[in-house]
Amino acid sequence: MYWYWVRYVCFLRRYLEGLAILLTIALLLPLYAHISLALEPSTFTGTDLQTQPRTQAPQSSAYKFVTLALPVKLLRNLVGASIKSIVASPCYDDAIVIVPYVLPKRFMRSFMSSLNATVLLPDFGDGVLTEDDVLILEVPIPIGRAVSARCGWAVHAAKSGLRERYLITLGQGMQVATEKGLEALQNPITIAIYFDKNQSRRSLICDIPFDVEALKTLSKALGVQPPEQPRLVHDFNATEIIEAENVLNNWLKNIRSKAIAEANNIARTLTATYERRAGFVYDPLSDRIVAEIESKELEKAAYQQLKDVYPQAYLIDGGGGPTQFYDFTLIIQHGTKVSYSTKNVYLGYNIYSATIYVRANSTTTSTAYLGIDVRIIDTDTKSVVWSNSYSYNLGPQPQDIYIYPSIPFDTARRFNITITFRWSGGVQPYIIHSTLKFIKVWDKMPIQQTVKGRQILSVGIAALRDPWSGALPSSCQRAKASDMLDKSVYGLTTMRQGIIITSPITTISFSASLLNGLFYDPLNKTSPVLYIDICIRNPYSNSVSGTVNIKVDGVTYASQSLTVYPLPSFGYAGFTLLLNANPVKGHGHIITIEHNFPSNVELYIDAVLEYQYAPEVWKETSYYTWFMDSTAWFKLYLPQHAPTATIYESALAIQTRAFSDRQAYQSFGVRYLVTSENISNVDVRGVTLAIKPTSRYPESLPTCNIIYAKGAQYEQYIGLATTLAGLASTGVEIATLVGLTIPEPISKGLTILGLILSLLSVSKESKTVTQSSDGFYVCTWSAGINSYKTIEIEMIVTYKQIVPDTTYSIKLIANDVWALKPITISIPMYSDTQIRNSYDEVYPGFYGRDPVRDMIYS
Amino acid sequence: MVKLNQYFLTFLIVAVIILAINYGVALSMHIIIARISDVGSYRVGYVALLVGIPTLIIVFGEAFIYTLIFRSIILGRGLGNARLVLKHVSMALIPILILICPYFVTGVGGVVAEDMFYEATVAIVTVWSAVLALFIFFVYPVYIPYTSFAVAVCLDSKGLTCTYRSMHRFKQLMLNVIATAIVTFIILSLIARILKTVAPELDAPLLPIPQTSPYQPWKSMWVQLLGATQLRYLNLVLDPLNYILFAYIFKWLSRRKLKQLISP
Repeated sequence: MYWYWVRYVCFLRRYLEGLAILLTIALLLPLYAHISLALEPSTFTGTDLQTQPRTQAPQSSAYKFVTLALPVKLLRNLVGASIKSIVASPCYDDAIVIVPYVLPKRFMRSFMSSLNATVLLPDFGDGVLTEDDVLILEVPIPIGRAVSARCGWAVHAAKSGLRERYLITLGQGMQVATEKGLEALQNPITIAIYFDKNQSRRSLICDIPFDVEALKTLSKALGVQPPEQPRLVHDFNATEIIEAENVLNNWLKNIRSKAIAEANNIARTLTATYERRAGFVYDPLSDRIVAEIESKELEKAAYQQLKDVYPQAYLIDGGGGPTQFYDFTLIIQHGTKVSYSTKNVYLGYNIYSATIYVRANSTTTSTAYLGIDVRIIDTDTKSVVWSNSYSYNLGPQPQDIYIYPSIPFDTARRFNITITFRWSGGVQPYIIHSTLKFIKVWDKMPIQQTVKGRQILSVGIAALRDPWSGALPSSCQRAKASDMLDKSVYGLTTMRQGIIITSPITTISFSASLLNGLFYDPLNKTSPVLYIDICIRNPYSNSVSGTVNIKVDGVTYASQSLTVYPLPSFGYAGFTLLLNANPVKGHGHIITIEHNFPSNVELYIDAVLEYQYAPEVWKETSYYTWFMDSTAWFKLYLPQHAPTATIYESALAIQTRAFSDRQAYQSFGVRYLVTSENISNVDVRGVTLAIKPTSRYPESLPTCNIIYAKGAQYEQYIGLATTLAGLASTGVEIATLVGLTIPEPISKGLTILGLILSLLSVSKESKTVTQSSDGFYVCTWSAGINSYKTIEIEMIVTYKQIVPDTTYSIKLIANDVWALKPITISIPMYSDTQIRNSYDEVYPGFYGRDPVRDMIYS
Repeated sequence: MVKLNQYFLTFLIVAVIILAINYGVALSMHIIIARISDVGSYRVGYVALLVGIPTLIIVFGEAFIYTLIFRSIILGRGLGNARLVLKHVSMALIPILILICPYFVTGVGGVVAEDMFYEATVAIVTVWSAVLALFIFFVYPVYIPYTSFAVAVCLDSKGLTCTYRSMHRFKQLMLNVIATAIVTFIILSLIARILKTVAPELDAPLLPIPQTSPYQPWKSMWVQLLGATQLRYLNLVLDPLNYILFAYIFKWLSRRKLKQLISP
């Protein structure tokens, strides 16, 4: 009966769990779909405008494009602004960048020898707006949805140092130009035109934007018929081009006079508000403006206040702009000439990682070409330390290009990056927008504290070690991965760890995930390195031959042919491979081992990935933040991951702040995660985490906590049993109390009683902290009779009135058979003076905009 | 002279049986804990077998020895046919075997089909162990001597049900058995205390306990359990004393009742 109820309750519980999961999925699916739709980046290439590049984009139906002609005399603060420094964004999405056109003052003839032709090029005067100018904006308007009236300062504008703007609200019913002529706006919409009149600032836009097709659309809407005359004639001083010049200039004149004449009408349905900010507080981590500061006097107070909430926040005052938050300029190409643009950016030293993001959007029906040359230059020696060229064929769809320059990590050398864009082809303009995003580590980072991370992928050779001496077979002396195991595990278990290939299996693949934050230095050839050692056992009486190939991501990196003699000899093949890693994203490599040895030959595989590892904490900006910021902790992963005979995977995390030399409450924490989630029929049964300070011990034993546990608990059965067993043991205790000192072996009955009581005590999940004879604080966790798949334990060494030790030895053991040799971890310590002096120190560690959020429209 | 030889032979056989039982128990625990403490070979069923197998050995051994010792010391008769003793003892221990049976069912099930038997095994090991722990104070000190005395009497009888009929007939001896168990327990505790003081080396386990460290979190736990429950050399001294004392004390305490109940 009891079991009936137990089974029934278990069945009911599983049924309800299953039902709950199904319900959750059912609820989440629509939500996910909704979120996916909301997150889907939109492109603005309405099919209704046949002259624009955006006409071929798939989501055109979501937006309608209207053309606005705004006489500058309605926006008087724009007078004196450089045409190259004006950008606009609709308020409903400040990630959309609209590049306003300006009505040219006239067309003028220019002979281009490369084309052997005379071209009518637009003339914009000195490039500064005057009262007579007319701005032309093509604004995407969402169809069928309301747009928010709230209009924060666009991040790209703030980062570019644009501190003035006009907020322009186009009222409902306002006449706007579309490809069908003049139409009335259905809903009001607000756009912001950002500008800056500082003539000495760097231009945002490389060329003055001009689009003759947009001009024609506007012209038609204003009732001025566009001329048919060509703008290019293959002759010099031909009558045809002179006539075309006159016609086109008259055309411009008509458009201008019509647009200015419409100004009074426009003014009635348009609200223009001028705004100016003294500065911004920018959070580089989330890439957003967290505060707009209206006056210079408020700057410092606002910044300090927000600094508590956003420790990474950075003040962009009037001196901000491309030199600090570098957005490459928009490049607009004219015609078919080959052009180039070179950007030089000073990077400095300690570049942690860098990405160049380029978005190229060809507008053309013919192919456009884009070339990008990247060079890293040592600023002291002027030598090129790394360079590469890339070329792309641009189609009509926007293309996202990511380039990862390999910048040496060096605290002593500073670098410039030079990026040259070359482009040609296409009959319509196209746009290249690029971002340089690089992350620097703290320039005062002590490089000697760089740690080597090792990812153990397989310890197959450990199975060949002598269980007593630990000796390897004589011909297999290198076993990089198995050498990391502690000697205590040799011969401890019947379960083999790591990859052991037995023919006829000839290929095995496994993944190795490089982690964020590793240093990849291709110049010094130090990291990351993949070590593979293969020990080969030949069971035959005659020698066998074969070849071993190592592939990384499908590409053969190395191969060795060898002859393996009969036992007791073993064959050995060792590989040391440098991986071309992407240092920014940290992605998985698929490592494949192939061989062609005959059947029954066994290959014992050791594989370990070694890399320099920059603790996350080193990205902090000063002693102060490093010392104070609770998030300043770093992780060192030492996972075991081998698909054929894995017992579990594990990871280690060091959780600490930098130490101060004060006698204050400071702690050093370690987390150890062990999981067998990916392996059936294997549980995590016992875990030990041991820490030993090198010189200074704390006042009391460290604490040990279970951070996370996942699995089936059976202790509910033990509750009742323990009570009953306790009653039974009471008799023994009473006898003991009266002085009998019951010896266990008096009777068999007491032996069995002792067995049961002991069994019950070890059946319960337990956790203990002790100090071993070799000076380690040992936290031991046991699952008891429970069945756990994942466990994470934490051990915290706390110093209350003693200056903490800076070096710790750590031992990790799980399930007895995964024990690594002690790992040494050093934590930096700074003097109280250093920390206090660095309170106000800032060091921007993030440049550029998040390319994922970029949306370009022009 | 014949009687002396008979006593000597009895003691010899008892000593050999005790030796065999103790080493049998120690060896079985070593083997099972070796399987449990190796993560690769661990199955929850072994935990049930860890209780079941030593219990079975001990129960049979105890009943066998008590039968022989009672027959020799109290009844003054020969040892009889060992096969017949085994038959009667098995019959007498059926209630106990029913208690042990779940350990073997869940133990074997928990080894060959762990997922299916996991919860059942855990329940048997915990709940039933605790119930059995209570029984230990009755089964081992009272029931087994009591039923063994019935077996000893019935060995001359041909019917196997004689044991239960005799137990019913001897129910007035139950209090004597309990009293004997308590007196024996106290005397042996004092002797054990003295022996442990004068010869602490007798406290060494019969089989060596493997060395472990806290860095073997799983193995050390089970080896500690083995160390805590392992039979010692002390058992080889105290156990024969236990049976002899029990038999003589019981004979002395029950001398009148025995005269009435056991007619020649």
